[in-house]
Amino acid sequence: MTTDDAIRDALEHLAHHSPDPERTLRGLAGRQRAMRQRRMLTLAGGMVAAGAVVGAPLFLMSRQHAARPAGAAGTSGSGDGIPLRYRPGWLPAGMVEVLRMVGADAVNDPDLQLREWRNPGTGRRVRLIVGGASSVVTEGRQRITVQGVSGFVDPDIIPRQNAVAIIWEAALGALVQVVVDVDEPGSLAVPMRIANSVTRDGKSALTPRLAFGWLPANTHESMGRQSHGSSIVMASPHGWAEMATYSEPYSAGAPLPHLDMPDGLGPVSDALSFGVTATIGPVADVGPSVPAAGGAARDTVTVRGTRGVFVSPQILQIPLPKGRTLRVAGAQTRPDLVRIADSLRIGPDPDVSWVGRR
Amino acid sequence: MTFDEFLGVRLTSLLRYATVVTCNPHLAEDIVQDVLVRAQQRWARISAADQPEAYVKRMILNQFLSWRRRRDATAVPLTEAMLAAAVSPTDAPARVVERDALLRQIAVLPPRQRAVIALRYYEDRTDAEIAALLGCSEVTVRSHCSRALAALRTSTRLLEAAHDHR
Repeated sequence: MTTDDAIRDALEHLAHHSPDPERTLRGLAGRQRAMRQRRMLTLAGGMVAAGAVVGAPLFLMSRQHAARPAGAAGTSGSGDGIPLRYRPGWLPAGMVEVLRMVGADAVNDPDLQLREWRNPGTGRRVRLIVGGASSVVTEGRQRITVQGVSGFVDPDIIPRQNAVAIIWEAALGALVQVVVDVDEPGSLAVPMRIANSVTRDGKSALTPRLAFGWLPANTHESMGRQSHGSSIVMASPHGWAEMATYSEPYSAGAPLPHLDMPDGLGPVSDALSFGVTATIGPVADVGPSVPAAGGAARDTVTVRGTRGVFVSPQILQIPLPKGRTLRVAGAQTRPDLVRIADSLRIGPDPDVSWVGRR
Repeated sequence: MTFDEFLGVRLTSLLRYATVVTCNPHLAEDIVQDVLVRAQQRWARISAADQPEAYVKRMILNQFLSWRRRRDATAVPLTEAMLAAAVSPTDAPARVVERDALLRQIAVLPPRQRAVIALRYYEDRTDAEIAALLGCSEVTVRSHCSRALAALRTSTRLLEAAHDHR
């Protein structure tokens, strides 16, 4: 037998002893579930902390520095928009709300909502998630009682971070998760106090103003019978930013492709691979809509009745009134990005009076 | 073809491929699961490609060669139990010993050399195809292969010498 034959023979024998496909499938299902959970829980913190939305550091505003759009009511938001179902009745001192998100898991849980509070001084976070039942792993979790009903504790819900999750069903079909940064691993006192204080909100809402119009065929087909888009409004260093994301098609059961951040990359980066992201924010955060020094004239384009700039082949930036910039990003052709931007529906400023408030 | 249909038809093939590339069934399972989670998210794009299986195999290869996996991929990939499992009880003793030695030697090759050996001898890929998969030149592929074969032939010669000595 030649060396070549011997190698083929050895590899063929090795191949015959590959893992059991059934076991692999079972492991795959568990991994998908765990990934959905991790994504959901790292979503808000990852975006704010990494500045992923606009590619610049996003710092947290204190309440007194929170920018208010002209004419905004000084309430927590109500009336129009998507009602946010729950809020914490108690939070540690210094916590202010910095992010509201809806629609991140349109396939498995279209009603999923996420809110985040942060302490600007310490960076500690409290996240309140309503929904997400398809991603919650309860096997092996410690049982606790929250507000008189049975729940679970996950003391290690985010790898390499001291965060504790308290999970319970606040009402029929309303799974609530409180995820709290803690000093000591597994510390339950503060998370439990917050969880026990959670009540129905009834006043707060998210009022997205960004909505996609035309999308390329491959993206548009992904809409199916259900939108996969998400809307996020969050604090930024100079006020607030709003982002809408739309993903390309994928198999049912794999939510959040457009918000995958496995390597600390932000949703914009993912959108470049998977779909389209539209972001509106202050020029200082999103970036100017003028060609960089030495930029070629071919990088400018007429869009939305004004001059936009391709700051990179897949990122188009357009000036908006009141010192804001619209950024449209995605792995699309330039004409398609222009068409997407042209067809974006931009409504009145959302109510962001809640940004930076408790 | 849906993602589930793809798994039903090709999962075994993917696992066999990953096992040969990694020389480690446990790592193979880990990598295949990782890759499939990501592939599912992009399935529309992958399934639209000419050869979805080739695309996923490339993802497996990249995952194996990625820096995150490198430490795992070079760490004692074959256990005695795995080697025993790779040996048929009906094989002649000399052949068993030879196969055992070869697998051990393949398992400790540097990852890219191991990948070249797997692609050439298990997948029957040409140098040009391997170069495309690894993102390198055909000359580099031939260099990896030459070094790997030199190491494997040394192993075989040592084995033959041991037999002769007996």
